[in-house]
Amino acid sequence: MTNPFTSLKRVLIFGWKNFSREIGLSLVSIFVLVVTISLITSLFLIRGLSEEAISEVEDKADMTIDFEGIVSEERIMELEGEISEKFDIDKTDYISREEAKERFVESFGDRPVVMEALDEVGNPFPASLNIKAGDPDTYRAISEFANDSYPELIYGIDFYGRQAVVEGIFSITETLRSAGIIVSSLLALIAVLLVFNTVKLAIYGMKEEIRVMGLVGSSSMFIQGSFVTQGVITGIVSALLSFIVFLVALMLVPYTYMEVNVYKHLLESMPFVLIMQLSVGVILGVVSSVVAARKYLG
Amino acid sequence: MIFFNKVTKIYPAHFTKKETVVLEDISFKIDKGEFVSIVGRSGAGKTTLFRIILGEERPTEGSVFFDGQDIHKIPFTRFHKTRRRIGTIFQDYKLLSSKTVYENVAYAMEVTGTKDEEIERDVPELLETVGLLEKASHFPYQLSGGEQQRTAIARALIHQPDVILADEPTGDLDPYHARDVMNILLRINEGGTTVVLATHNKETVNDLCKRVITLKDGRIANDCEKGKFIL
Repeated sequence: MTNPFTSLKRVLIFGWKNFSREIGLSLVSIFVLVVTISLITSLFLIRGLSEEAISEVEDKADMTIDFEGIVSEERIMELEGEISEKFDIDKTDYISREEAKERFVESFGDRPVVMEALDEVGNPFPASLNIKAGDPDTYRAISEFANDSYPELIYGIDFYGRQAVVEGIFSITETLRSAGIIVSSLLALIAVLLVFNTVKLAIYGMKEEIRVMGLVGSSSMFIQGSFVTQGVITGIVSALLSFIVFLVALMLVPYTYMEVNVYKHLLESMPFVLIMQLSVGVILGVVSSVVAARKYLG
Repeated sequence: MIFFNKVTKIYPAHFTKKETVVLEDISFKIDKGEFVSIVGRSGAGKTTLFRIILGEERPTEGSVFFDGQDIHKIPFTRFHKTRRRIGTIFQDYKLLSSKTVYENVAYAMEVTGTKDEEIERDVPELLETVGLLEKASHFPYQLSGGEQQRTAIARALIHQPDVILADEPTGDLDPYHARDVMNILLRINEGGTTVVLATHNKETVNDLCKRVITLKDGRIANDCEKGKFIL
């Protein structure tokens, strides 16, 4: 009766010997795997960063409703209540005429000419309501609702002024998201196929050995076991090398990009990246080894 | 031990090649402990016959029994157990190029789950018998043809199989090494192991004075006890 631990120990030793003695082939496989893992890692990180940049841009979008000078605060609060009820609103900020003037004075108090002009005209600032919606797509609807329901209150809605820009940004970010998914998937697929073919070629070179192992009385599991071990070792070495590539890249990237703290983002992603790289490396190494070796076991 | 029952092997037509009949209506029986030479010209079907016993080829018609069991009805997942009862010596040695002499021989024991202590005891002993102990750590490419063949023989013998299939084991060897190999096979046979030798070497067969099955154009032309190489 075969002792499973003895068999396991031997399979692991054979796998290690295959790896170390066929070092030329192993290095080729490692190189291709490192390229693949690094590519998948960068696709993942770039996606994460662009998501963050997109959210950053989306966060900046808001709308301001300016009210006629004679409108009472109660009416404005009434409109604010209705908007909050009807739409998904993150935050509203009411600025009274007095507050608006105070803010202006805070900003331009050190310019006597401006202050003199202000004294002459009194308080030209309208009361306003600043709205930040949960879903940036709702600004147009909010604006239409305010104009239709409370036309007598509205002096102007600032959303229209920035409408083209905001909608343009949303359209670009949506396109970027879809294109990113398609391009990433395609690149990942090409990389995976490249790994499969490299490992397949490496094992093709051993097809006669696989046949002889079978003729000597080795079970398929025993033969495949050594290739699985080889795949695991190749995967782990490749993942660790890819992680080093990632660390080097971390030192080279700009600290911030499009107001996103790239360094912080990458640093926070480190444990996940290592786990992801190990998983990708080991899974690709094992699956491609098993699939390629299986072909010659029949 | 081995029984061929009306075995025919036909390779189907392939592109420009016509259909090839390699074995036709072959029937014979080899008993336990026999030494049988299968002779015939190159292409007579000797190697195909071995490949059928090893389960690498399926007969087009007929069946082959090993110890009463139809070889080609044994599930693939269990077939390695049958192969472990057969030691095979190939004309081109078929050593594992990435393993040393010691590892090549030990491999046949390791796959059967033999304990490490037994492997460490038996492999050096057998390597000494075949005169390769000093080259135990050499890789196949560092050995001469004769040394490679002796490694292959040691690998075929190490797990004490019931049957040895030797396919042209002296084909590439000089007369001195060829005689060595034949002496080893005879000694194994004296120990009770069945030996099936495929060869086209007339002198080797005539010197043996054992049973000879002669294949001609895929058919058995002759099968006689203490036979001679006659074609």
